[in-house]
Amino acid sequence: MKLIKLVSIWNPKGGQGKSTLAINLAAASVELGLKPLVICQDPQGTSLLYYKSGNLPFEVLDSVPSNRPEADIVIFDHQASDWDVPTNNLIIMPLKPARDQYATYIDAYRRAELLGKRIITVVTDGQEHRASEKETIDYLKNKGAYAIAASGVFSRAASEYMTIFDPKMNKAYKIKERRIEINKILANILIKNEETKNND
Amino acid sequence: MTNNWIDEENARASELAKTGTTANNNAPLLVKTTKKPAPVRHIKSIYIQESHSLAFDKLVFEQKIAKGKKAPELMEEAIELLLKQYKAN
Repeated sequence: MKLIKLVSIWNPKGGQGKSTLAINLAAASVELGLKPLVICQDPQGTSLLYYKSGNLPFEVLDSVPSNRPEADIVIFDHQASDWDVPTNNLIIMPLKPARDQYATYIDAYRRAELLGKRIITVVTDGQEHRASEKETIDYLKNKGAYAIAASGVFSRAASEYMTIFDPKMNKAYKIKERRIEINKILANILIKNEETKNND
Repeated sequence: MTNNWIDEENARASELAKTGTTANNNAPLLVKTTKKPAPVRHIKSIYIQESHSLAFDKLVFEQKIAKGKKAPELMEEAIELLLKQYKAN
């Protein structure tokens, strides 16, 4: 039976980029020839709205399927205000580099840490020309975090409910850099195999 | 040099983690509800007395009236038990 990589995108703070990260990681895995599945666990249904637009080259489900899915990687897009640490071993925690955002992130991080989860931190929407944000980004990067810089490509892609890997985005300003940032996170998810579960 | 507040937040979060609470433990917490999926249904042909069939239909009808359209799951359970009992499965 094929092994499925299970990934949870989680942070109780809203607006940190959970859904954006979920669909873009899925799109990046399609580029690698993998079959991703996104499971939207958010009543706002953001990732589901993207799927319904018909621009995504992968499936987004509104709930956990009763049967084992035909997928290489399953990404759970959790909702804001969810303080229950996900059951999956691998958790991706996006956060914006401001103190009030960090406060919620670190509270949730400690909870997941206590349960022995493998956590990948992703600093989103960072503006390095702002000294305070740069310090926070550098601090988190030193701790092993990934960073996705603030960029117009995300709002442009969102305006058409597509990912930044959509061919329509190929000529967008600094698209290559943003795609590389997402690909680096995906590489980390895929290369480390210790948490791969046989979900039968 | 890093922001001074990071150390403060880290220390606060570490203390909070020990108690298992949130920064505002009096605020209402999200309660998750998951819909129970409907059981998988199979069609089987069986022969029973007409009076039993009518009684069964009446029970299903009463359950639907009381609990709504999707109520007769209990009936399905009962049938499954009967089939198991008489090795009809």
